[in-house]
Amino acid sequence: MNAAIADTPLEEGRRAHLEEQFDEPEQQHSAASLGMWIFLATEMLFFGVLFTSYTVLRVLYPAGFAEASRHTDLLLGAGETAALLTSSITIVIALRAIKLDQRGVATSFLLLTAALGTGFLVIHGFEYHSEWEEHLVPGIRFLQFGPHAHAVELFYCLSYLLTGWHSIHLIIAVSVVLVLAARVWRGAFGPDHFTTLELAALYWHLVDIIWMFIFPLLYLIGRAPG
Amino acid sequence: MKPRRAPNSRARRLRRLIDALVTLQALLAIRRYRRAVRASASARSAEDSRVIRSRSKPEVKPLKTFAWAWLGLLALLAFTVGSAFVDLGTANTAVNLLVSVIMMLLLMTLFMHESKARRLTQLASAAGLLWVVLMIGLSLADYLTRVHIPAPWS
Repeated sequence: MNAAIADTPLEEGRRAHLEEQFDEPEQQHSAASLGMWIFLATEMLFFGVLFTSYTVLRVLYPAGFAEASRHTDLLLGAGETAALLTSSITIVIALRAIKLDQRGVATSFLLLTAALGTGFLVIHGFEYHSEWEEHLVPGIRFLQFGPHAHAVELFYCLSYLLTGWHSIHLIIAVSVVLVLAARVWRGAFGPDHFTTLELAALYWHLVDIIWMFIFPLLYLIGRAPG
Repeated sequence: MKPRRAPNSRARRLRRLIDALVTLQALLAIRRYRRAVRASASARSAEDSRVIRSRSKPEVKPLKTFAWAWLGLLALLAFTVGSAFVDLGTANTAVNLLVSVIMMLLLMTLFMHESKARRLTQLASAAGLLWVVLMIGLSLADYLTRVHIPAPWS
């Protein structure tokens, strides 16, 4: 029964990458993805706390949050979002290429993914810089007047926590993708062995999904006239 | 003698009946066992052929799917940014968050293999989302129902 399965060279390759605690390559793969999803669930909880604080403060200070949000740079924010959305597609194209044994394509798309992530971080750096110039950094360089100054300060506290932690996650993701690009180029992965790449893509998607929620909550409120 | 024979033969008949029932039961058990073995064997071979089919080549989606997903995500981004400039009151945020949820589901179903994942894996991701919803829901249940009582001196 198993002899028939093990006939194909692909299956032999899969079995060669089977760790001793697993019976089948499928079992190994599903254990790995379950572990990754449990980790991603804890990440959701980590950011969930910040989103909860945001919700409560926004309920308490709706006008102040709207005013603070108008200080953010919507054009740069939308550009960052587009870059991150695109990177989620490029990383799955890289994964597709490795499944088809196209090492060169996979490496270049992984590098493109890392470049898009880095682009996001650079644009965000510019935003941090202009906020520094506009005296919008709570505790260090904050100078705002008006009835909502306190709420604006709270908004920017949360904004730095959300975007700061998100950027740290993205820096980790970019580093992981760069290491994987080097390993793909050296031939460490193939159609019979790509779980590591798949899990890295899952992490990348999560970082992207978290930004999908940060973006409208920080940049898009209080934009409508009237 | 005669009155004695009657209970004896009755007992014998009863024993024979019981024997027959036991034999029948045993036969049925064997048949059931064989049927079960046959069924599991055929199930296993069906599973094997499925596994062989899935193992012959890793599944890949056509590039067109990636292109459409990318365009879809960018269109949703344009829509959510555009909607922010239309005054909908509190519905603005609801629309923005709805678009974010659609984007998330798009990624999860197309590229995070959630629709084809094992139930246990789906449970792990659903648990993460559920706890965040619970945390926000319960916090709001507190803050939205608080009555503001000003201090006497304010």
